[in-house]
Amino acid sequence: MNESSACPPYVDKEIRCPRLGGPVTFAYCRVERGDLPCPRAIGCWRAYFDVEKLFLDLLGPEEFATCFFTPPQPKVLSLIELIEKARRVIEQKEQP
Amino acid sequence: MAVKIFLNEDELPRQWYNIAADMPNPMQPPLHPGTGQPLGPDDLAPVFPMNLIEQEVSQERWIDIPEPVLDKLLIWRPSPLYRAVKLEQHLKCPVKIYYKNEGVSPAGSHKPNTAIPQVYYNKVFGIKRIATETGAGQWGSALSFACSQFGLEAKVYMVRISYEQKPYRRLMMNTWGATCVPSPSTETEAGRKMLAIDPNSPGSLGIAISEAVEDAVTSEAHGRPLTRYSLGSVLNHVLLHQTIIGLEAEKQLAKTGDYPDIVIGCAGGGSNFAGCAFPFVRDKIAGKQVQIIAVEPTSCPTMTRGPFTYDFGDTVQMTPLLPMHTLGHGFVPAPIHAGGLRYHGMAPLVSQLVMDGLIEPRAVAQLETFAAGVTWARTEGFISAPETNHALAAVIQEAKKAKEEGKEKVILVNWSGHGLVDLAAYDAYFQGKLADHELPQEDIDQALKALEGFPKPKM
Repeated sequence: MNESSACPPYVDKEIRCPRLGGPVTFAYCRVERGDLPCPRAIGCWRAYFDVEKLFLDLLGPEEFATCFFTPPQPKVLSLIELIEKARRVIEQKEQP
Repeated sequence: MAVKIFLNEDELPRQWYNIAADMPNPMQPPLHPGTGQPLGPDDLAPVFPMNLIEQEVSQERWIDIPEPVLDKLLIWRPSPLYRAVKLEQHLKCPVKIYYKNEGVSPAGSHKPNTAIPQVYYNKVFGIKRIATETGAGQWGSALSFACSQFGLEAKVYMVRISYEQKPYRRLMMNTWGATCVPSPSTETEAGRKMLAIDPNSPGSLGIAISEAVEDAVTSEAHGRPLTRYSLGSVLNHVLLHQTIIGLEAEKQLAKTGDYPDIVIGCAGGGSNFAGCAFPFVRDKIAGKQVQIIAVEPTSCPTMTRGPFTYDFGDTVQMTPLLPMHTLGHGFVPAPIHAGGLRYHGMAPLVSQLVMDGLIEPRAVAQLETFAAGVTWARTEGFISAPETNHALAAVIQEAKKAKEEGKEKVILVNWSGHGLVDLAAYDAYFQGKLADHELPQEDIDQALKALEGFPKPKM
């Protein structure tokens, strides 16, 4: 994400996050998935500024579409996959 | 006129009701996200004990509640059934309104109804420790309470931003003896990776779930006590445990001589709604005339406007693929003050019953729900959790409708929890900071495009 252009219009503005049940600023929503925004960020912030345009500028059309309008890969994000990931942690630990 | 209808302790139901046995259209199995094949018990064994997995797939109509579970449930159960006399007088409508008060549990909501049995089944399976994640802390506190009752260790990964903002739920967990750490933590590989990228990461539910699952799966290898993971909504066994609400309500209503014309509950992941409603759905399947309404926010209309398809089971796409109503996980809901209603995918059992025409979904706007909650507080006295207010709004709608129709009706609603730890939401309402956000159809259509190519369940 292009940090130089990522400054949100509302630095201190807080809204209630429907997933966490508590107040968050746009700075949280912008990087909720590491380097990517929360998939709900557009819906939550569109009432306050043109958040779609901001993310389009920051991410570009392809990554924007991937981020907001396509489901993540099930393998990566499923519980089964998390189990496999955790098993790999064990395997790495056991390696000499 | 009795305001509170009690059951004696020896009248506590001894069995849970499993609606899977009576489904007009049997549930379709969850699909493995990698292979597309039905999941087997062994797939979930690293995170759930086999006795709970057996309940997850059980077709038995009645499942005995173990005595040690009953013993713990007696701390607050049977919960009282109230007649909402003050609200009835305020509304001046031809209705009798009964509500099941689930706010009397130690954690203040319906959540311990499943936390207690989940911890018990883990214990008898030889599990010594349970890991889970929590956002605002409702589920984490319920599980912490349950673990304290059975002497299991509880490890709760609480999203760091909530951990820092919301000390009260965290302190509840600590008081019950749980270890609650901010996520990302230094205790898992998933957490350490995130902290390496951003030492000040505020965390997310996705990271917290990753940490909890890793904690469970790697517990033995890391020399920790044998650990499993626990989930507080959506799954079949969770809904099963919650049916004690409706089973008690049936007995209590029988004492009054009334039977509900309408049963109402708020539906996020579906567990509190299902817990109250499923015993009455059973009656409806058998031919009884009863209207059963599941209430959801207009800003997150998973049942009222979403199609039936396969999607991920929770907002962070971490549970197996399940058939459910959904707007797709690309769906972006408007801000709403009901953290418990955050699931974009309803419990598969509830979704199927909506498809079968046995449950009527209804969407209510945010401001209407808070208005209902305030009316409730100023008549019945109790301050409701924001998600509970959705059900109360539907109660008021139905009462007014009965007046318009000139019909006398009996309404049963599940009062799923108090809002004493969420008063900031009321503050925002009183200050006029809340707004209604109805999702435009074009937004829904766009989100649903993301689901093209997913397998569709048999209709």
